[in-house]
Amino acid sequence: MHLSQAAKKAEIIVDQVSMRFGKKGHEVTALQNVSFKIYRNEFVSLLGPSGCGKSTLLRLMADLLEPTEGQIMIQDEHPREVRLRRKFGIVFQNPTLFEWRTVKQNIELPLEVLGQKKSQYSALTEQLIEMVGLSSFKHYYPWQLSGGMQQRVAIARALSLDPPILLMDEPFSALDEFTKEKLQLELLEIKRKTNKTIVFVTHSIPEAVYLSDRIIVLSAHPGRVHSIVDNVREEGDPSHIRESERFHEMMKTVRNCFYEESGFLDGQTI
Amino acid sequence: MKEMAVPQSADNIRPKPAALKKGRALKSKRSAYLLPSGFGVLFLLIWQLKGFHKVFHLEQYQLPIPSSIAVSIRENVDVLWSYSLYTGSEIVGGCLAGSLFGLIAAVAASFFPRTGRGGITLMASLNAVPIVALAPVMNNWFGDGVASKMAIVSVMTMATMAVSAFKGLRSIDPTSIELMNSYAAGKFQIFAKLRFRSALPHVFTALKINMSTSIIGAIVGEFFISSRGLGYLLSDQIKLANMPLAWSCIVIAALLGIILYYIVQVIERLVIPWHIAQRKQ
Repeated sequence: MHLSQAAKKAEIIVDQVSMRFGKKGHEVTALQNVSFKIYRNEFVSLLGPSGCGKSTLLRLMADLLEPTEGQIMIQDEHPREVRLRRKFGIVFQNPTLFEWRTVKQNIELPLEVLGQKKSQYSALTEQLIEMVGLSSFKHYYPWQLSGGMQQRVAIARALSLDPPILLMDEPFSALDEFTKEKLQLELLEIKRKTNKTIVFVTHSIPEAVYLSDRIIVLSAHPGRVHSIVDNVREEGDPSHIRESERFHEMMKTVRNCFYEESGFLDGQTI
Repeated sequence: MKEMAVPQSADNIRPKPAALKKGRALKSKRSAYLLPSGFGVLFLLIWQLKGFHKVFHLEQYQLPIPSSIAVSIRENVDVLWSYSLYTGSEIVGGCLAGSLFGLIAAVAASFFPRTGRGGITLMASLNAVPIVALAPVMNNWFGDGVASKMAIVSVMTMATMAVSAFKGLRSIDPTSIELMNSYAAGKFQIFAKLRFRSALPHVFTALKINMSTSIIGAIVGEFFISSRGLGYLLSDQIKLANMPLAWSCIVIAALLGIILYYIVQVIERLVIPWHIAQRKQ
């Protein structure tokens, strides 16, 4: 964590990216001149209010959209290459499970698409189901699960191809507070075990502060990088982070980014 | 749709009071059968006691009573059985052929949605062709055997299937498509693993509607040119004023309709048990 940035390997480079939607003359600028880097094995949150283009940014990285201007490089390649080689897993706000598939079958979907044989991956699926704590529910259908369990299945599914990068689009924002905290803790545990590069889109300041190594704060209309907050998460037992002095200091720092922006507090601290 | 399972807020499965739930389910299942069958028995009883005859000023040669229809069915059981199979094969064959054709059209259109949409609209206009116009033409083309009636039924059913299946194939949750794209899934994989599966409820709805339409198609088709079948017997016996046998045909046709509909429903339950309408409460 305390390596100099030059020594770290840049995994994702977002370079002067702008994104406009709509027909000419009636364009809406979702992102304007956005640039930043995400380093290997980092947990980075894209934090901002609605309309700041954070989900759009994630979709650009995933090659589900193409930027109007600028470019994105992932592991020195165009996102298209990265997508075609299945080098990232993606988790959406809505679990997006296929209703006709059981928990196990949903997790196996990417492996099936890849064309692997069942015998090759059945041990791996079992392991993933175990990892997200759904062993006794593996033959359940999505509608028989709670929202939190459904999102766990979606996370396991994203991990099934063992991609180096995990893209998450507000995965916990539809969950209640208790479930959310539990899944946040589990995500940190997964991060510790797998050491993936994680890009996490959220509009929740405490969530970003709790999870991230770095936070990229975006402002809206049009979406721009407001500031980047480094060294966010402290090392140590994640179940006690929320009580620490440092957590609250960080919350203040990040929150001030927004108040500064709106001129609400004229720079004074809360 | 989720509150049927477990509350969203809890991250664990709520234990069900199994015994209580089972008892309630049994009770509601029983009343689901008892009420309609009780009503049916009452209806038959009023009919048998000539209640309808009094209200509508009908004679028995106009509306035979249930017991005389039953006697007529028993006396003509052989011919009714063989004609039911004959008409049944027209219904099932025509319905399956028409539905399959409609499904193929919908699948083809879904691969080329821009031109496909127009094709489906064109196909929907088939529904505007009245059966009374269609029947003589089809008899002229395919003769007075099973084939002409199957052709009528096919034409009557394919549009419903095409429109419904196309709608199902096109109304896919966009995030699901994004998900498949993130796995670099090909067009055919997206079709097989996502589009087709999520269109199946639409396909079964169309199949159920088509089963009922097919009975009308087959029977009315037989009115025109045929020497066999329930429709032929029905129109023939009405001309001869043999009302109990004519009514036997009506009863048998109705039974046939119920049985075929039920068969589709059972298949639906087996094929898409995951669908919201099939889930056990």
